[in-house]
Amino acid sequence: MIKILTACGAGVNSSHQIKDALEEEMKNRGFDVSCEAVMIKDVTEEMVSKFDIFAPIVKPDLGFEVAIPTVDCGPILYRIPVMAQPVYDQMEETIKGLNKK
Amino acid sequence: MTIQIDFNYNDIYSLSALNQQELFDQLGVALVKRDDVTESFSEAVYIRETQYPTALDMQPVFAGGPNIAIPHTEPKYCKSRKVIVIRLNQPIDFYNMINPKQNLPVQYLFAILNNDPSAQTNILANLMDLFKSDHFLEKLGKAQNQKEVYDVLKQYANVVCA
Repeated sequence: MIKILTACGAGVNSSHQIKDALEEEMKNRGFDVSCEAVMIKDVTEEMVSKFDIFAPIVKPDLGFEVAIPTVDCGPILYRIPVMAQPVYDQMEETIKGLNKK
Repeated sequence: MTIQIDFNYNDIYSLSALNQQELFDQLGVALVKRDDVTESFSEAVYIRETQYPTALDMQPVFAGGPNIAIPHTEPKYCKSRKVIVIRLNQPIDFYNMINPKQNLPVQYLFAILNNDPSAQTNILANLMDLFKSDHFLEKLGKAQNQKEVYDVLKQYANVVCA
């Protein structure tokens, strides 16, 4: 199981849209992923350490170094396949790079 | 296909402002008068925009059309759930939501008011589907006033003329 953390400023549920899109697409690509959506202000170093990949809209300044791979997922929000594709491809490569089942 | 967003004729504005602060001040005054937001809304949405910018580069969807921002803030500053549409007579610079270092001239705002922190709305997804609807941005770019914006919206979404 690959654990992905996504985050947004909160207000219009953009992180939930990223979560739903990533879970569906990565499942279609044969990966077992679980994505959690939180508010950026709630992201802590300890929280990040419990995940394999960080998937924010755009890399935020959290005040600490994110120790796990980060994939910027903002283009997914456009809901346009050609824009989302590179993000999914990068996510797939990142998952493969984890060498984790 | 009709997009599932309700727009009200009275929620469409055509405004002139020099910058974001002036714009949100004007918007705040109008929305406080209608009891749609609290007195702190203007400042909250302005600060929020500096921290988490909301402009969308729509050029990949329709080159030469208007860019759009979707400003919003926390539920505690809102007293209703609706989308306020603002057409700017002259575009104002906003930062790009997915590339915060990039400045974008924005001509339309679809400001999202949401007073229910537990509401899992698909409002952003529905707005995105609206923006990429056939010829929507092309028509929106040609609209010159409140009535013409309304006429474009009603071709694609639910609208109420109240």
